[in-house]
Amino acid sequence: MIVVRIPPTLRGEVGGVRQVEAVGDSVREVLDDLVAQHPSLGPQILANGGLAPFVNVYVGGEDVRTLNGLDTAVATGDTVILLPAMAGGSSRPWSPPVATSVLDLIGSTPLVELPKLSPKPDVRLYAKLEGQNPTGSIKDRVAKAMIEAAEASGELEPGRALLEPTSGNTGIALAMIARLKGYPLTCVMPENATEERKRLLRLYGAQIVSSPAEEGSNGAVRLALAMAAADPRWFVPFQYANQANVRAHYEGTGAEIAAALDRVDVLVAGLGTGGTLMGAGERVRETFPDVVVAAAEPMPGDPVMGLRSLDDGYVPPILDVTRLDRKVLVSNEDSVAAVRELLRLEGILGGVSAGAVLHVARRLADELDEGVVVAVLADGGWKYLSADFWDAPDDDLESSMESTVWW
Amino acid sequence: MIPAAVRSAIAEHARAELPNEACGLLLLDGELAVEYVPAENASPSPYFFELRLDPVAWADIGERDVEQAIVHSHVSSPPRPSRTDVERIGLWQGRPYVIYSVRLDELAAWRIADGAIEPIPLA
Repeated sequence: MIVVRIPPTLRGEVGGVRQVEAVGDSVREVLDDLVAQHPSLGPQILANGGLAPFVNVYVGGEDVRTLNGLDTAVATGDTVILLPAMAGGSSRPWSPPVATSVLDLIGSTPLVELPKLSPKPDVRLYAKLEGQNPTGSIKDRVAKAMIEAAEASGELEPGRALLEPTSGNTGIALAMIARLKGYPLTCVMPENATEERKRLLRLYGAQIVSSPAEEGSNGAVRLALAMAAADPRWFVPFQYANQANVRAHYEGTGAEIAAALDRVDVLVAGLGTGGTLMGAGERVRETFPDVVVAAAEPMPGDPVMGLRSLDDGYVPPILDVTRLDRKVLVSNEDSVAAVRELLRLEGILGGVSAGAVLHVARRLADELDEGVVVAVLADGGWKYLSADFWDAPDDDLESSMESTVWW
Repeated sequence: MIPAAVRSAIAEHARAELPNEACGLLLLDGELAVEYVPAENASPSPYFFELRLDPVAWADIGERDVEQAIVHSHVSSPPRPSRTDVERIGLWQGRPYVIYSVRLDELAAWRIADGAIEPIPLA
């Protein structure tokens, strides 16, 4: 005779008793005898010819699953113990679903705190790393939004070709997306654009038309608009005047920042097309009405790659300067010093405009006693590796920290 | 109700098991929790527990005139039953099931039956 101890969870099946006597030379025979006496126990303890998943059976204090299972031998005087097999656990942390296209990976970029770069312990400085987008810059958001808006409106359809004046990142983003969607792309850019940029554009599938170097990016804009006027086959997304640019930052960049942080006192972005400042600025202001939206603008005559000085004579139509709370001029030297510090102290390889934005963010952080400053870093430094400034001695970069503040 | 001493026994065990989940039994006399019996997590993980208790000791507890609740910790998520908890409720269907969130320092009790989760108010 074998004594089987029944746990409270199974006593309902055996008339409430705490133990039942059964016979057999193995666990299987004992359990079969038990089920013969109390048939409703069957599905609870046996399944598919083996032990049910939610019950543990012990002989001599050992789990029979670690012995011979149901064939474990038992002898008169042994006690068989049945107990619930309890397991569970918290859900694993959320992980992103597998994307069906690289286009689905645009946006949702990380925010990271930069404690070593914050000028004051009570001011938290965060960077939004737009370089983590698929082609490596914030322009993936803009390019995707502009192309999809044009497709939705019917302006862009198979057979048309894209033409865009671009200093690089927008072209690379447009090239990647246009190729996936089957549109050819031609980029108009100053002929002195770096060879790396041009090479990358060609690799992503773009054609390149050069505009005069001395006319800068404004010259590229003029040439592209003239080409489009002469040939209706071209569709020019024209990020400087395209509201989809602003919307991409309102619905993407800005909404992500507003959702991720419980406070934003200052939002800094570079002044390029104005898309980030207008779109993300507006969205962050909706959640944090007192936020200071600040533009990092290059000093006139001292261009910072990727940024635009309004003094150069072109104000992008999507830019409404009255929506900017601050505009801080930053020199190329300060930008470069900041981007090197970002790499040295925080391990983040940023682009040059990221340095400009960071420089301004630190200046404005320094004006606060406590609060949260967010810097939108438009791209990583990978496309600027051939630039000399990475290796220049610090003396040559000594920063005056005296950027002109306009308002 | 769960007296402060019992609650802190659960919390201390959960913290001691970090980074993994902890588990054990809570013994109830009517509605009053009288004792926490720590168990071993036989599958140590931040996202999983498998309760292991000396079978003779657990069978002996089953002879006492106390009700048992399964307790386990969630390291960082809230003390609500996860999908895993519901899927693995097994024989514990309809019985008290207590979860302690280490990060939130929150304790909550539930009954899980037929895939449905019902809270048990803690006084």
